[in-house]
Amino acid sequence: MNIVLTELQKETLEEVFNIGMGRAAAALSTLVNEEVKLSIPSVRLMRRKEAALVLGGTSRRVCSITQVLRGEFGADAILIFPEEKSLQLVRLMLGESVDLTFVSEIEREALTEVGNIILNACIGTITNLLEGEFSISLPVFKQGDCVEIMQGATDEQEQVVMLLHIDFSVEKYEISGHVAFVQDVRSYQGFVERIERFIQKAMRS
Amino acid sequence: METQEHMVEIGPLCEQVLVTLNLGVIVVDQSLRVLEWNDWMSRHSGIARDTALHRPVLELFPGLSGTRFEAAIQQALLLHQPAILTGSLNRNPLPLYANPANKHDRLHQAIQILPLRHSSEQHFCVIQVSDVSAAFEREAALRRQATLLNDSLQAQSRLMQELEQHNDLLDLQVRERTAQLEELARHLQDVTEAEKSQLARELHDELGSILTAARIDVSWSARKLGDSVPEIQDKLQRVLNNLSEAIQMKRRIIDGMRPTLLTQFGLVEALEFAAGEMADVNGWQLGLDLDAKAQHLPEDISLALFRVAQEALTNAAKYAQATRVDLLLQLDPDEIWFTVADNGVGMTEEARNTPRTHGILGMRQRIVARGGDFELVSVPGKGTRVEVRLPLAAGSGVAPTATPAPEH
Amino acid sequence: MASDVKTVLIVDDSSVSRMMVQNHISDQMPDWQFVHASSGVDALEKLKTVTPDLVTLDLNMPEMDGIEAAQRITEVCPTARIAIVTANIQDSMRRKLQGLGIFFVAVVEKPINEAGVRKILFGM
Repeated sequence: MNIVLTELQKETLEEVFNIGMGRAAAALSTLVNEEVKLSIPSVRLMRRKEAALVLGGTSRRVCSITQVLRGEFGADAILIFPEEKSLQLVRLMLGESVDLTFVSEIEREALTEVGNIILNACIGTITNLLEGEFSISLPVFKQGDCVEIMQGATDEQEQVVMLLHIDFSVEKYEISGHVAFVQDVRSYQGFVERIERFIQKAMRS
Repeated sequence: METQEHMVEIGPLCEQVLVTLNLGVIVVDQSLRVLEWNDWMSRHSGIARDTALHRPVLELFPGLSGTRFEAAIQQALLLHQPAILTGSLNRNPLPLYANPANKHDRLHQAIQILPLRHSSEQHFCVIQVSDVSAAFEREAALRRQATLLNDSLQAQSRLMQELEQHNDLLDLQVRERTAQLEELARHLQDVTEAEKSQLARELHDELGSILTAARIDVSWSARKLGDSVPEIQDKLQRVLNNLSEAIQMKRRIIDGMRPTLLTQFGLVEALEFAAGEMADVNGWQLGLDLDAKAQHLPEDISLALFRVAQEALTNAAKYAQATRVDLLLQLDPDEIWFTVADNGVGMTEEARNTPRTHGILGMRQRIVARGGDFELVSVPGKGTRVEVRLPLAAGSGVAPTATPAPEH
Repeated sequence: MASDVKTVLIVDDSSVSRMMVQNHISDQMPDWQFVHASSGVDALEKLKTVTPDLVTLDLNMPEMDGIEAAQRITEVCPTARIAIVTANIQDSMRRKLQGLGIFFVAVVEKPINEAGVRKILFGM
């Protein structure tokens, strides 16, 4: 299977993701009442285990919220926060004063909802722009390092995935994280067709 | 036939399931009208199923217009996105109670809003509500315990800190008192040395000159008398002998009180001389390793070391039955090391507690008063060793500032 | 007014976005002419030879972001009207834009559509 994107397809994908994350950042900004900064998005093809390293490897503990898209193409939408900062974020919102050293059930659920809001804003925009029919799973919360989190349900570490990646940060609280779309290349054909259709429509050529 | 029978029964069964479920289920259509409102919802909202059906859900819960609850339903219907709403982030959005008749205890809610696609045109949304009050209570209790634990840990560490501070204070007091006592002891010794010095000078200047003058006169008289009166000559010779003895005695007393050798020759030579004499008398083999730089130490330090040597050598002569004695004096830039060692019988624990330990105590006192260390190591059958370390103040030591004046 | 031929400088690092902006404006103003710039630096370069009536500007771009680009463009070409076309629709960003003291004809959300273009044209 040819898994090379043309420059235009890659750029288009980055722009679509950028627009999606713009909405997500706005949603997060409303939640924390602070400006959310976004990096320039990037699209890369790599093995699943390499994607885990790009997102932070085993060097630190993170919290992640994942929603799975299934339909004309499949992808895992993953939001990743450093564990410690995510606790600060959620305690900020809950107004808790006690510093427990673990993520309590309530904090975990609140964080899952935050992830849900951000990911829905992003996924909604992307699926809308690419005009697909999808079923989208409920958000799933995980703790661990990035390698553990990226393993997901599969053990296919060698599997090639497409990593759409953007960093965001809330300066005031020194919170930063990543959103990644890990695209299963088995549904790559459908995905590329969607991008092409979007380009054709944009270019009207 | 069987399949048909089966299908006939599934409808009522589903209804039964919905009635039995221990969670709230609402189904709304694209215009947000209620299509399903299960028994749990009726029980906790106080709104009966018949009242709820076919009415817009926001009419039943008017407080929820424009909130995330409404936005999430729209998202599910239009974009097919599922959403969760936690009670903590959304302040338990639905007006649901354990007992709706008295609206006191609002349920802690966990809400899931799920898209339900019947066909490409017909979209529905399922709202599922669970009561998480119990979990919430558990966590609140846990949080209270954690707070208590935190508080008591803090109190404990505060107490520990106070205790440590108190200890430090006591330590400081002990050190201060000890320093005061050492200072006092040093002062007393200095006074004693000064008094001895004064007495020695008087003995030498006054008594010495009287005795010498008397001897010169008697000697002159004896020469003049010649052999003319032998009885008187005999008496004069006896007076002369007694005067000589008195002068000798005076010298010995002076030497005892103020080490003439030390004042005259400096520490190294004084030690060599004193140790040499003792070795001759006691038949010791003598080992000397004395740093020449120590010749011109400050007077008080020289005296302290000389007294230690005298005391140690005297002890060795009296008790040790030694055949060899070693003296080692070493000068570093900032401290002095001095050792007197014999190969005698050594001392038992008891021996060190006999009255002559006063000699040992005196040695120790002199050294400690000058900020030094004193140690007496003694092994029965192997000998005794006195070890002294004295710190040197900056600028003292090898500088010839304290050269003792010659006695004569 | 509408018959006047105007020049539009489209500044965006995404070529697809630039095409979308051009196509949507062309739909309503078929005679207008377009110049593309793929970055803030490129836009300043283009301004040496072109004096646009309208500049559409993306905010999230590598090297020089849209805020800085807007300031530099206003210095070089004070007559050009600037419209922001951005994916960043946070309130804080709107406040930041207002604080620049530059008159923006419109702040339009990506992806651009007919309503967005009307907003820009109305602002001019």
